Amino acid sequence: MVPGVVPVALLVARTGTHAVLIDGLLVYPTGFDFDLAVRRHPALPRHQTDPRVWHELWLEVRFADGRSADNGPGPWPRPDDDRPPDPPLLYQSVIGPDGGHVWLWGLPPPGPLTFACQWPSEQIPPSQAELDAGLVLAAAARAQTLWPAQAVSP
Amino acid sequence: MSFFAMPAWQPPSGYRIPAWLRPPETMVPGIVPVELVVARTDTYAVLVTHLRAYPTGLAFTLTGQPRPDRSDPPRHDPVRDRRHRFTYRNLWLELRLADGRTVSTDSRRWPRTFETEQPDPPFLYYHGVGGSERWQSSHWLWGLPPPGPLAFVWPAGQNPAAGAEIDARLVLEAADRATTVWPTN
Repeated sequence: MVPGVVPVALLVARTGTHAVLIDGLLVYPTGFDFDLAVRRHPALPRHQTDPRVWHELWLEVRFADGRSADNGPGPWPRPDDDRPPDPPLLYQSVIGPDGGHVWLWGLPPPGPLTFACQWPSEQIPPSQAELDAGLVLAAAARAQTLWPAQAVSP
Repeated sequence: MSFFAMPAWQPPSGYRIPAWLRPPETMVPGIVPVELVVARTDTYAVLVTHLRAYPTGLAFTLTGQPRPDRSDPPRHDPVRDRRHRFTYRNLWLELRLADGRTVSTDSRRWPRTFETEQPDPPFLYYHGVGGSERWQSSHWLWGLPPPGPLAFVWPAGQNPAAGAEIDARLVLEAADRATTVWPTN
């Protein structure tokens, strides 16, 4: 599919040394993906961080109806279970010093869509930013099938 | 030291990628609200996505993706593979600006000193992430396009010659929406 693009980037957290952005929101009928982007102040000395620190950037996405998903350790659906998991489910496919890439299974209901994060090891306190879920739903409606005969799994 | 001991921590190199080879690290980009299908065949498509504008240029992603409901071509038939796939190594993307200038990912057209000396804009840099079938490459256009049509094309002579066009106004307006993460004051 050709995804629909959400025309905004969100600044979720900012300290004197780090910032966390939600960037590149691309929406499909089944969910949306985005970059969890870490920015470092240019005055900060460059050094290699312990990869364990990268995994400590915690992200949660909250829907207006109270449901939420995060990049914590689970629980995950069983690999031998063919049934799709109940949305929302958040899967972070890339984890690195510059953040990661995230797929969120399921579209939000209308209302505020909240992105919350914290990163204690980099002194980022609990922080959050909101997006109107209507922008995500409108982008989902603009997504197009590349090959019209292609079946789309719900 | 034990064979299994961790290697010693290395001091920072201090190297930073030059500003003309990457988007600004300290800005929230303005999002260009379009997705482009640059090429499509019965079995493969190439998209331009993630268009992000900054005061200094435009970042975007080129993605090649196979049709998911078609069976894969035999993995040991390179001739057939070439007919069915577009690989970023074998193709170069060209951007055509409204004032007649063009930029290309064909590195033979890049200035020899592009890594150490700032080239005159526009300059199109890229790096790719390969895969056997699906691939992505990140592109950075150093310098904003002038108003008018902005075309993403694969020049004639490539297979396929294809492209898509947008109004550069979308890029310029998005660049105006970019904000600094850490204002200097």
